[in-house]
Amino acid sequence: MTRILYVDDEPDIREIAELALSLDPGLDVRSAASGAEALEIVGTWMPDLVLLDVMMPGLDGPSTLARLRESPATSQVPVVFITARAQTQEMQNFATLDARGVIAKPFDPMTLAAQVRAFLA
Amino acid sequence: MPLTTSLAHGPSNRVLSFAALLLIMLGLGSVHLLIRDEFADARRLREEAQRIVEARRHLSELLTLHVDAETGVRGFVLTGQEVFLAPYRGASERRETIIEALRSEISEKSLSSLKKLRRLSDLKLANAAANVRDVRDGRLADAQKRIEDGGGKELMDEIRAEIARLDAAEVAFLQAFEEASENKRRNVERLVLLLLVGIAAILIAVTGLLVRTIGQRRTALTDARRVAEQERAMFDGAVDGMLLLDGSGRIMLANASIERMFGYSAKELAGSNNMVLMAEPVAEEQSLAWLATVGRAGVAGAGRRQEFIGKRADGSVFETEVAISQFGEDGNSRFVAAIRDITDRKRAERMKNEFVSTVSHELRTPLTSIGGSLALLAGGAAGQLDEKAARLVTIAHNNCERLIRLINDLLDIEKIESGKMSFDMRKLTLGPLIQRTVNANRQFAHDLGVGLEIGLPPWPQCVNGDPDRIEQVLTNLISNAIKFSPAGETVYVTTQQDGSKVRVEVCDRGSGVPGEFRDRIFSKFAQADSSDTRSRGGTGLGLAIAREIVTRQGGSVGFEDREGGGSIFWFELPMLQDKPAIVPPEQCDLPLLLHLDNDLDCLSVVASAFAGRASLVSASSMQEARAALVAEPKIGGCIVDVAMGTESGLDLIPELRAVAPGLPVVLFTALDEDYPEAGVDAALVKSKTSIETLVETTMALVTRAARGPR
Repeated sequence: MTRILYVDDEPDIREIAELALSLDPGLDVRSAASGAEALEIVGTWMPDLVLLDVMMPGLDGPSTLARLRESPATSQVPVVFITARAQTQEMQNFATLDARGVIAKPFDPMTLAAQVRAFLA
Repeated sequence: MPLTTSLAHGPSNRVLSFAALLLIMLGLGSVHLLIRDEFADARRLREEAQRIVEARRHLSELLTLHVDAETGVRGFVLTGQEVFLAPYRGASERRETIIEALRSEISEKSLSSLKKLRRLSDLKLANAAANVRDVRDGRLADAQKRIEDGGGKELMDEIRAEIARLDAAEVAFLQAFEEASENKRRNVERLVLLLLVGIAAILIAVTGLLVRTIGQRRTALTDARRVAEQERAMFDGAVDGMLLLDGSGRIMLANASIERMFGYSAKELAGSNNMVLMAEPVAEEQSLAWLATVGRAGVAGAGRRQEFIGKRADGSVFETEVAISQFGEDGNSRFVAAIRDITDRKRAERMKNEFVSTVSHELRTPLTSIGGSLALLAGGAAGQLDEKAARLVTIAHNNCERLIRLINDLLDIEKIESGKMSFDMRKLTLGPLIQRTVNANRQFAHDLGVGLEIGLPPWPQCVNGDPDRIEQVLTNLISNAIKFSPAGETVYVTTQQDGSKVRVEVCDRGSGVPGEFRDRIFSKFAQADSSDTRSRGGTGLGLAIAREIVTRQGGSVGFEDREGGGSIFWFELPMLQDKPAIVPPEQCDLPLLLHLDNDLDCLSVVASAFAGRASLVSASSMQEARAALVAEPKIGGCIVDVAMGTESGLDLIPELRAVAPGLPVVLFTALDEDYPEAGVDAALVKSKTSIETLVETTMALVTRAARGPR
């Protein structure tokens, strides 16, 4: 099973994402409501890919990514940002943040799993 | 405006005054000459008169001389006393002196009379001498007899008459001379009077002119003062802070708004550099260099704007905007700076941006949930829905997506209008981008029963642009074309090259663009029929966004009617290409082919594809092709493009046939049409033919032609 950690402060979107990703029976999905919670989870449950919302209270997406990279255990874990399209243009430098890519929000739940699979390939 | 009128009269007034002065000088000169002449005449008259008086005196003396001599001699004859001969004795000598004087005094005409007078005088004196001699010799009777005979008296009368004639002649001469002088004097008088009248007239005119000029100058001065007062009032009363700077950027004047805005008094500021008002002063040279680029007042480009951080007297800072204009001639130029406190505007801008950003995020979050849930429901993630429920969920889902598109478009427009849309420009190849975009729209086309096809040339077409943004534009054009095409039709996406530009075309078979809508199709919220917005699910912003994106990348957008119905929407971008060297090939043993195409990339791709099989002479214009035909008589085949900018490659074919009837000609063109009339050996369409096919087809024709009779 491929482990996916979905991090977003919006509970509804978290639930939809979990549901959408679970349409792919090969994915094992967990979610976190904040950057801090995500950092806590990766300590015990190492994901194959982290989907990270950019705008979150407290630790935002880029800060969470930076914290992940600081720890040797998670320094290599692939990260994909989830963000509104308006912000993707301001985030041209996501590559320099060492993220594997960006998925625009609102995402299409029916193809989300396929998009995630593409990033893992 | 009277100011300009009086200024315009300046030069002509000067010319007039100068001419008047010249005329007066001339007039006075003439008067002077005339009067001098007149004086000379008068002097001459006086001299003549004097001469004639002298002549008359001498004539009278001559007469007296003879009369006295006659009387003396008679006395001597009567008395025999020697004392009576005294007048006679001096007469001969004196007579000579007088006649000599008269010779120079009388007029030339009278000289013969003088001679006659002298002869008479000689006779008279001889007569007298005979009488004296007779008396002395004692022949008194002879002398008395001579006197009684009257010969002496007759001579005397003749002398008197001659003298009277001479006198009368001199008097007449003087009279005639006086008369002539008088006539001339009268003429001169008249002339002088005329000249003086003329001069007086000119003086009056000049005075009038002077008075008028002074009047105009006074009006101009009043106007200038009024304008200055008006401008001073505008300067002082302006809501914006106004500064007058000298050529070196020093403050000459500051208005009340500046005092209020910066907390300095105008007196404090006078004479100090404008830098004193800036939070981050720059070097003086830098400031002067910037001022030097400022436009002149009243000229396009004046009122150049720049934002800067202002610093008040108390050290606090605030955001300002300055507009600067220059006036005055070089070397003495000055600047007017209008400074505006834009703290509030900047705050409002920040608030608006924050608001837009917040709203978009706050709207998007619930929409993500709604859209996601609906998509999952529609997709059967929560189990199969019955038909009615599925239909309702689909409606809700579609409208949710439309709302999301609208928000995205609104954000784009907001960004474009605030100038915040940035472009990540890079060299990119259109083919893969078009392929990717078309693939992304296949599902949409399929759902509406519309076909979607691409026609691209087999060589790369490179442009400079932002790939994401170009994809956005193309997506918009393609989805519009799909939406407006009836089911069963096909939307074509192709590229065209025209000189230095590449054009991407999206061709549909829709109903076309209605006439009244053609002018504003690229405006915001412009839709042919407002009901379209609902039926087609558009936002009315797509084409406005597309136009902005393309024009900001140096391109253009447009549309035209498509033959057979429908529209062609296109955008053009400047092409990146390196011109291949068009040189006559060196390998003489290979067949020589002429390739005409205005697409330089195509020329170089085709030339390299023929490498080893044939040598190509590449021509990028009709002119070059014609020149090559003349220069290279060994050409054994031609590859011709049809669309050559404003010309058609087809026009070259009759010319080719005229030169070489059996020459194989292959059309290699982007236009997919039938060419039955063209008289070519093969017609290949770029998007449908590989380069290899072109090479094989051409080589087969060339080999056959070379074997067969020409």
